Order: sequence, then structure tokens, then C-alpha cells
Amino acid sequence: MKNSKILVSVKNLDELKEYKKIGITNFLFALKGFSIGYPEFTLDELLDLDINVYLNINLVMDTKKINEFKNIISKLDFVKGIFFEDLGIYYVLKDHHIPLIWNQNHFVINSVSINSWLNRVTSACLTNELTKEEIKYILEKTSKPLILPIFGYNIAMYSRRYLLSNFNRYHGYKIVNNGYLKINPQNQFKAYETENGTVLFYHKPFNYYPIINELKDEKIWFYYFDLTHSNIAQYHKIINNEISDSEERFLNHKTIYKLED
Amino acid sequence: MIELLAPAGDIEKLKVALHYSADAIYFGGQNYSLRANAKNFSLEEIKEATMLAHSLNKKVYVAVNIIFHDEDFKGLKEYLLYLDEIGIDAIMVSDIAVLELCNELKLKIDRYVSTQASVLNEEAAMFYKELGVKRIVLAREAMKEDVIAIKSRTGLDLEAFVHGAMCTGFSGRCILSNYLTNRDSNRGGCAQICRWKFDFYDENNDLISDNFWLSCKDLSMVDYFKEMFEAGIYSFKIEGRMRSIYYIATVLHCYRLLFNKLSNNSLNPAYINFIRNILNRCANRENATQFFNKFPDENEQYYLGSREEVSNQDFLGIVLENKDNIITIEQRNYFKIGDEVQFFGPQNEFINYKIDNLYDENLNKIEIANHPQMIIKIKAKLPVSPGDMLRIKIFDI
Repeated sequence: MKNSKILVSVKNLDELKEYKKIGITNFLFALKGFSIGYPEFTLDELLDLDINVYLNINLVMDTKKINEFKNIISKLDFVKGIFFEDLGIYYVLKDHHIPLIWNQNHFVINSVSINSWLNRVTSACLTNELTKEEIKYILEKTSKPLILPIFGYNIAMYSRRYLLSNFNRYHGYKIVNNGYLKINPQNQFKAYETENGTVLFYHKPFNYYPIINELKDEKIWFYYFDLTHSNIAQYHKIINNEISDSEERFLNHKTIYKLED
Repeated sequence: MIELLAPAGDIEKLKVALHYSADAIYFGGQNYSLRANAKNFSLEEIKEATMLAHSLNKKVYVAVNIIFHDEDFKGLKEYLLYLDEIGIDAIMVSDIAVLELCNELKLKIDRYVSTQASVLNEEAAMFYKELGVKRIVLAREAMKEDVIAIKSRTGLDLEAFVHGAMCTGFSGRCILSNYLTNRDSNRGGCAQICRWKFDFYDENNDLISDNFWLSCKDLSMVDYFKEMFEAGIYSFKIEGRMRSIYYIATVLHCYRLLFNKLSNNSLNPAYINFIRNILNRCANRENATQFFNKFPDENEQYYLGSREEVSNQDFLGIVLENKDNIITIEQRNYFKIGDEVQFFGPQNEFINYKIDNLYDENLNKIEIANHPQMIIKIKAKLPVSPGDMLRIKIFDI
């Protein structure tokens, strides 16, 4: 795994120098005002960092929001690529030169749709609900190198509602914007609420690093590490195979499609 | 012109929806639809449903709206060709692969983008329009200004939910079922985890509540359907492929009455209130307008919990025949002589009636109708037709 094929998300810009020291120069940042669930950064903050800046724009956008986005397009020239969730973002950027990465959460899950998108965009970022065999199959069948999430926390639900503050307001509790929702100790979700809604992350990280040797490196554009919940020490743990509390249920088990009567 | 679009979980429900003046029906086949635990329709049943609907000059839409894994494409091409051949009117789609395949096969059937795609802006709608899509089923989160913008700038037909259950999250962006039940919500396995009870802890892991709910109230657009129409909605969609025939009939009947009143300029607040009462009584959960007119807050959330839902026995029977002033009814819930009841059907608004006689199927006098699905007869001169329903009279105009 070459450093040039590693893409990292960080929680603050001070961490960049540590990654740069070990040769990592590709970073994915959630764009302030147009993202949810991750530490957000303004374009001004990202402008002169001497790194390759990729933007994560993962909001589902209404009319007002996408009009706000159109107003900043002229400031995106320095960006190396944009991961987009909303297809409206593709539509407004399709005639610009910025590389686009299809990142519609939970949709990037079959080779046919991915190839369809690869006729339009630079790459696609695979969804986490795939088995190892499905990942191999998709990499085999798709026409351009893809982005493979290696480590991070999976978004299990994205709502436009203010699910935490609504609840607290209803009951007269103190308003909090994040916390944990638990069914039982094995099934917990980390909840974040912003002005753009609420997201729930599964509480355990996925770690696909142990399988990368089974995958065709030439079919992967970036190995993506979401380290916004941790730091560079975690990165070293991952590549040294020292992660023990990860969760790879989708990698190893198919989900059920047809229910029995 | 508007379209009243009704769900059908099986052929019986489809027939009820057609009888109750639905302009179009949507349902799923045995594969590729997002209600894997509904009965759904076999290939023969889809054909039968299509012929029946077309004979009444009504339309049929088939959900092909799962998010496909590679293994799921098996048989899809043949299925789409079959749907095209039998002449269904449209398929509802979320996955771009299906749209591309339809184009490649040069299918005649229209393609509608499912609400699973969460379209909320004109640019996303334009993307789909350029792929040959004729209609967008808007995201449930669409607000009035989104509807106006998308309609005015794309010209596409717009379809929106008007009544029924809501997803708490964006449709298609929730895999809680995958985590907690191993059922893929994007392939029809949604286990409604948003209706489960959670413990809620703050970021320091201190318990805030052991009774936290994600669930939101159901949708009801009784108060805003006129504005929806004026904003550009063409198709008014009722949610609920797994709902009862009584629910489907009641909701269809109520919205049809509202539209009729609107079109002849006789709609007034008292009538809307009357309809709202009937709809509220019919459903077993509270409802609200959700996103269209304002951003939902705690008043649109459902904090009582799924176990607190109530059901009632209002639905008394279905009219099987009305001949020689004898109305034959198949019983569904207990009723007796002296009860105040209400007939309703597509040809009438409401017919109030006090039960003053009851007979069994052999015309022997009885006092009560207390056996499920027993055949009973009432001697009365009333303008009711086969398929009309009978319920306890709770509300009156």
C-alpha cells in the first residue's frame, strides 16, 4: 500500500503535519455547511495547506442548500476531488474540471451501477455493507479504480430531523447535540446532531485492513482511513494489525434479502 | 387534474383500492421491491392487476426499487421485459442500474424515481430527467419551496406522500435493520428499528433516558393537500402496502371527498375537520404534516412508543349485494340492532343508518352479528353497492 494511495480524514488540521511526516498527502475533509457527521472545515482553512485536498459533501440537499453550494463553486479550483452524496451536486459540477467521486451512502454497492457512474465521474467510494466476496467481484468488474474505506465508523442512519434536541425539549431535559443510543451493549450508536440533521454511527469501527492483500491493488485508487474519531496512533495500530475491537459483520455475513413466510 | 395513488399489498387490496376511486395503484412483485414481507404479486397477479386496472381506465405502477447487490440482478432483465410486455404503466426505481437497463432495452413503460432516491432539488431531478425519467417521487422531507422549484424548473410529474407512515431517516439512508436484525432495509427488510426503544446516554456516558424513541408521527396532509396541488404535486400517494382494506378504503374515500369538494368550491374548515377526525380514528398512530409547511420539531415526533398504539373495531362489514331492498353484508366486527352505523363507498359520501333489523344468511331474524365474516342481511332501501363498507358512526358532518 503506497502512501500515494492513502486517503485520510482527520479531526483537526494540527494533525496534518504528523501524517505528512510519514508521507501521507491526500486528505478528505467534510466541507462546512454541506456535510454531516464529521468535523467540518471551511474552504479558507483548506486553501494553503500544501496537501491534496478532497472534499466530502455528504448532505442530502434541498433547494436552499444547493443554491448556497452553487455560490461557492468558483472557490473550488484548488480541490483535487469531491465526494458527493446528492446527485444535484454531480449535476451542478458535471461540466467543471473537478474530479467527482460518487459517494451516495449505501448505494455504491453493485458493479453495474458503479460502472454506470464511472461513465460520468472519476471514481466511486464503496459502501460498507458489502461482503469480502462482493468487494472482490466489484473490483474485478468495474472500469476504473475505486475508493475502498479501510477503517472508520459506518453511518447507520441519517435523518433531517433534530432527533436528540427534539427529545430533550419534549421532556424538558438539557439540550445535548451528541450522545449514545443503545439497544444493548453490543448494539450502540453514536449520535450527532447539527443544524443539518442527525446521524447515527455504529459504535464500533470497521477495519478492512486485514483483507487488503486479497484485493487487486491496481483496482483501488485510494485506501480511505476515517480517523476523525481518533488520531495517527490509531493509524499505526491499523497498519500494524493491532486493532482488536473492530466490527466486520457485513464483510463476513450477507444481509438477508428475501424474508421467509 | 390530480392522481390519487393507492398501495396494494395483494390482489384483494388492489380491488378495494380500485373500487374506492384510486386513479392508480402501486405494488411490488415477488422480487426487487422494498416490502419483502408483504404478500406482493406473482407474475400472473401483476398481469391480472394490470388488466383489471386498465379495464377501469386506471394505472398500475410496480416497485422495482431495491438497491441492488450484484447477485440481485439475476432475472431482472426478463422481469422488466415481462412488465413491459403486459403493459404496466410505470416502474418505480431507486438504482441507476435499472434506469440504464430500461433505456438499453428500449422499454415502453415509464420510469419513476422512487422516494428512496431522496430527491429534494431540481438538479437531482434534472439528472434523472436526462435518464428518461418521467416522474419524481419526492423525498418525504420535501418542503413547499422544494416542490415549487423542482416543478417549475423541470416540468416533471411530481408525486408525494400524502398520508401514512414516515421514515425517521432519509429513505435509503438507514441501515439500522441491517445492524440489529441482519435484514437489509434497502432490499425490503426494514424492521422499523426507529420504533424500538433506546437508552439515551450523553457523550460522557451518563444516562439521560432509558425511554428514548426515534420514531416520528405518521403523515397527514389533510390541511395542506390544496397547497400541495397548487405547488405542483400531481400524484398524491397513500403509504401502506401492508395496511388493511378498511384503512385503504377509508383514506382513499376521505381524500377523494376532499378533492371533490375542492373542485366544486365547497370545501370548508368544518368539512376538513370532519375528514381529519375520520382519518385519525382509522389510523392507529398520531399524525402530523411533517415537512411540507414547516420544519418538524418535537411535536412531530412520537414519544409514546409502539406498544401504546391503539386499534379499534370500527370496521363492521363489507356490502356484498344490494338487491330488492335487502343488503347482504360480510361481517368484520361485532354489531347489533340499535347501533348507529355509517355506510361509505365511492358513489356516496356517508349514509347514516340505525340498525333496526338483522337477519342471518337464511333470512332468520337475529339480534347481533358476532361471528367474524358471517353473512348477515339488512332490509333497507339504501343506495349502497357491493364493495361499500360499514362502520360504527362516530363522526357526522
